[in-house]
Formats: sequence, C-alpha cells, structure tokens
Amino acid sequence: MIDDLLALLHSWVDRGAVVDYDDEQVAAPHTVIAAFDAAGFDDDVARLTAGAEHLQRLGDRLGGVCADLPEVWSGPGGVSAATAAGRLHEELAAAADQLTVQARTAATAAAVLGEVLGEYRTVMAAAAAPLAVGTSPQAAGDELSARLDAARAAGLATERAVRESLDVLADQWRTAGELILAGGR
Amino acid sequence: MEPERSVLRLINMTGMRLDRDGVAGAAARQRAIAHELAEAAEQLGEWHFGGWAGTRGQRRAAAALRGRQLHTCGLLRRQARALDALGRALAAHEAAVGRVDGGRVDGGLP
Repeated sequence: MIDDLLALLHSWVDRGAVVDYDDEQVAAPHTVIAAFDAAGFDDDVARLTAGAEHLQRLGDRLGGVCADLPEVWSGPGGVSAATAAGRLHEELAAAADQLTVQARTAATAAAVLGEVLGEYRTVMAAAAAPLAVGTSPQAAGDELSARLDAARAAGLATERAVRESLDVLADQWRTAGELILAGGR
Repeated sequence: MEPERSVLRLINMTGMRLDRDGVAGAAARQRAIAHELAEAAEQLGEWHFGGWAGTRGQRRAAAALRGRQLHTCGLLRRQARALDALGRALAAHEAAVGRVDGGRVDGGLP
C-alpha cells in the first residue's frame, strides 16, 4: 500500500511536481503494519477459540461422570473415586476457562485490529489513488503533500494500535514462570 | 486374603452399593475423555502459533502465545494421564468385584 503511494509520488516528481519527501521516512510508520499478517493472526485466534470450546465440552462431559459416580458406587471407595474425578474436573475446568479467556481477549484484539486495519487500508487506497486528469504539477505537489500527511497519520495510528494490542496479549500470554522472572508477579 | 476377596469384604463391611455396569460405564467414559484430552494436548503442542509475527515486538507476543500453549499442553497431558489412570482403576475394581461373585455385591461373603 505504501509502495503504491511512493510509486505515485515518483511519477509526479518525474513530471515536475515539487514534493518534499524521503522514501524511507515515508515508509517508516508502515513497516510494523506491513510485517503483521492479520489473516494469520485470525487463524491463530480461531484455533485458540476452537481449542477452548473443545476443552469446555470435555470438562462438561467429565462433570457428568463426576455427577453420576455417587449414583453407581456408594461408600468410601466410591466417595474416593468421585473425589479424585472431581479434582480432575476442577483442574480441567480451570484450564479450559484460562484458554477461553485467552481466546476471547485475542478475538477482541483481532476484531479491533480488523477494524483499524480496514480504516487504514481505506486511507491508504485514497492516498495512492491517481490524481485527476489535467492536474498541474504545482497542484499535484500540494495534493500529494496533503496525502503524505494523511498516510503518515494513518500509519502511525495503526502501527500504535497493532503494537499496543500485541503488547497486551503478550503480557497476558506469558506463562507464570516468565511472569515471576520478569517480576510481574 | 486374596485382593478380590478383600474388595468384596470391604463392600459388605461398609454396606455400600456398586452398580457394576454403572462403574464400568464411568470408567469407559473417563478413559474416552482422557484419550480426547491427550489428543487436544497434542494438537495444541503441534500448532505453530505466531506465523503472523514479522517484527521483534510481534515475535515477542507470538513467543508468549507459543509458550502459554505449550504450558497448557503439558497441563492437559498430565490431566489426561491422571484421568486415564483413574478410569483404569475403576475398571479394575469393577472387574475384581465381578470375578468374586459375578456381580452380586449386596449379599454376604461367598
């Protein structure tokens, strides 16, 4: 996307338009966005969500076994078996809940980033659109300068959204051991 | 005393009830869940989370995600093993009762 805008700039500079810009500076705010594969991120979120739902179903089934055990086996042995199964059910439910929270947070981030990236693409498409036929080089210079400002603002805002969303997720995803090492707990 | 007779003695001493089909069913259900749990853990461990990360900051998040899922995967594997062991113990108990008196567990010692 930023490459399209740069190509447009180059073509108008070649035709005599005066625009003050530097390729690397123009591209800089967009590198983080270009490096982020939103579709791949959505795939991971979908996997997490499916995994969490599967674990929840397994937890429900184990809960059913725990509920049935006292009906089919009474006495100390039965109570022990039910207690052991109940403990495992609690652990599984906790793991499923954790994964569900991770998946939900990631899904929220994916939805927000999807919206932000959609707006970004709209701005960038407008910025890289061909200028009206008959535009003079001088008018083109003014127009392209304005477009550069818009693209830079969109790039910075989107880059920040991607970075901050992933920072939040990274903090949430870090394991307990890593949190202890990082002094986060 | 043979283990099987001791099982039945315990049953009669405590006045417990044991529905052999029910216990066998619970054992089978536990082992089936354990099997699925182990499979879910395998999937979680094999997924290559984080293919979307291109910058250092993004890779940091991706590494955290992979680390978290491997942690969860280890947890689920342990739970699967424990649940499978519990299912096998239940099945063994049910089988022991069955061998002693063909399933009659409410009566006296044979």
